[in-house]
Amino acid sequence: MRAELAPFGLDLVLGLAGLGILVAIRAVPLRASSMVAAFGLAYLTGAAAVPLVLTILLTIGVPFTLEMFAAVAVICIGLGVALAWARGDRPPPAPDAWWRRPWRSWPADVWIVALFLVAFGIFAVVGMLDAFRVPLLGWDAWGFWARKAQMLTWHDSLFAEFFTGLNYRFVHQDYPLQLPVFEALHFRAAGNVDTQAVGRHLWLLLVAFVWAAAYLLRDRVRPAAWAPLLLLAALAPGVWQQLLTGFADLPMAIFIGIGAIALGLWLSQDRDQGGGRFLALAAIMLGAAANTKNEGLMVAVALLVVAGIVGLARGLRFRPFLIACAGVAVAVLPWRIWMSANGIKSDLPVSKGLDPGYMLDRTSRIWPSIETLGHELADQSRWLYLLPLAAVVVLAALISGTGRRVAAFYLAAFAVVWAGFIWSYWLSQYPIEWHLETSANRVVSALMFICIAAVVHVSGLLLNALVQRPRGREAEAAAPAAPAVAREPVVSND
Amino acid sequence: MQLLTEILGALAAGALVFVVARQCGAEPRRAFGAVALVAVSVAALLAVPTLRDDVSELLDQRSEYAGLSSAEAQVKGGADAGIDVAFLQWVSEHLGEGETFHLEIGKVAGEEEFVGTGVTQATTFAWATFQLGPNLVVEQSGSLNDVTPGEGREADWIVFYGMSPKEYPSEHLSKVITYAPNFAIARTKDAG
Repeated sequence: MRAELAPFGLDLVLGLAGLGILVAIRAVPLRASSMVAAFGLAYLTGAAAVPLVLTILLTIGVPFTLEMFAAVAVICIGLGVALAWARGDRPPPAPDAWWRRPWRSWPADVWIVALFLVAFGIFAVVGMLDAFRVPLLGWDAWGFWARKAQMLTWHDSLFAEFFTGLNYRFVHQDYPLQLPVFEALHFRAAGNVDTQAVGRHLWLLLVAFVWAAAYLLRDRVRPAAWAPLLLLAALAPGVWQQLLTGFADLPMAIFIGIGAIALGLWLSQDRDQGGGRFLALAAIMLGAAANTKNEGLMVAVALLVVAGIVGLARGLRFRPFLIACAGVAVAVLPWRIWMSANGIKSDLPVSKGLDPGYMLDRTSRIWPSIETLGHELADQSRWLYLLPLAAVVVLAALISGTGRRVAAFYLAAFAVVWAGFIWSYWLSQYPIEWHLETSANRVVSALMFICIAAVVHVSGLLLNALVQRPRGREAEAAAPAAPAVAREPVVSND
Repeated sequence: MQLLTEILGALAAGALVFVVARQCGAEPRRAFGAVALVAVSVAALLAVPTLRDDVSELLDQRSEYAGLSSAEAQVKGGADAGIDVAFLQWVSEHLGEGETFHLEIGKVAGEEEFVGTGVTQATTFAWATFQLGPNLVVEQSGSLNDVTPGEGREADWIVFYGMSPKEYPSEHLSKVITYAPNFAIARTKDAG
């Protein structure tokens, strides 16, 4: 019984820890209904922040135990309570009680959300039932991620024989520890190493992603836009099939997706609106992405650079942005310093990437990389046309001016990350055919989650422009999505 | 090229919606807003049949693994790769807490090679070190290849997988316990 239920209890604690963080950064108001509505985002925040903190603690020699996990979770929860109390946070005004009205006068959005909940609920439940049965089969899943999780279950430190020893170089000792720590927490809670249980907790990350994206975008994107698009994203076989393999690419992509949305929301704020909560959330998510896979660091840097340039061009306050960048650096650096101190080298010779002689000798690797990534992105049996749909709405936004800076951010982020992947294949020392064959179908997940963020966010902004009555351009740009259910303070569309 | 045509198709759909919206009298900004209808309606159109297909696939997958016990599920990854997981289970029962092992894996004739290592050999090595955890492996060479005769004598046990213990320098071994021909474990002299 403990083996079955305790890991889900741990998920609940992760959610509560995430809720504490969200309250602390003012991303969720102090109201019970808002906290329930934000629990998907809270779980994702907890699953991002807590393993990240535990990884940092591991690198400085603090033992990895359930007690330490509980202490970190309590600190996160306490931080939220203490800051809310110190700031004197008060619950915002009660939302429109649409449910007290006769059902015939309920807003259309209520029915759309209800339909979405039925459809997504069926998928989520059936997927969870499947996740209870699927064994861990993929090489990377047991060879790298679950193996490290096993060791972190049996040992409470980064002990030398395994994490730095020559005998275990083949497990890619440079790969970061977000996923192994996440899995090891569940193994420890269960009281045994059950690799078959990994899938069910990864499945929760997908459910949380959809829930979190809908919650984050609720003020900008009406349900008519987010409901079908987020449903399509979750249903994409490239998403859920890959998630159930137990590889780290999808969890990383999920963190990237929410990080991208948070940055997009920051960019859609006006200068005097702040937006620190979105930057704080982006920093947590991108820090977790960088701590999940080495590619995650490249993607996090790319997203921050692009957001910084767009934000600078729009004259947004830069100090909070720099603080967020520093937050990501603080999240990433301990692991990198620990690697360096223990002589662990990355299998990607990054320093050679700036050596023109080395790179010019390998130009034959560029075209196959472009071709293969393009081929993977074009596989609509896996991605359900999410990229072409993102392309059309982003182009419409760029031309029309509705949500232009948000669209420009997503487009530039996609392009820079794509170029980063080409650069890494160009640079890699592995035979290119083998490297592409074994990784390209997974690597594109990060790009697809940027597309998912773009298509949901930008479609919502365009749809708002469509349904608003003509009142002049200035009024249009500032008008919110029509309120349907409980909403937080609303800001402009772009 | 395929991706380009898919994007062009989506852009064409968006352009048509824009033109129709303009013909309906929508000002340009609202007509561009109508382009979002392409994304939203295509998503709805695809989501419903995909939901049916995905649910069916998930249920099929669940049925496929229904007969698998929890113990079998733990070693399915190795079994699917053609590895003798029962032998490794037998090995793990002989390894004491904290004891180390070294793997001697026989090479399969005609085995495909990648970066100088047999693919089957490498897979067996990777899986065996996973299944035999928390016991740790000792490999002086630091790679999947066995390059040094008598390698692993600092370990407590030598595990012979698809290879006879007779091929190993006997002066480093004490007792040998055989599971099946070419599948055995041997206590090293140093371990006593």
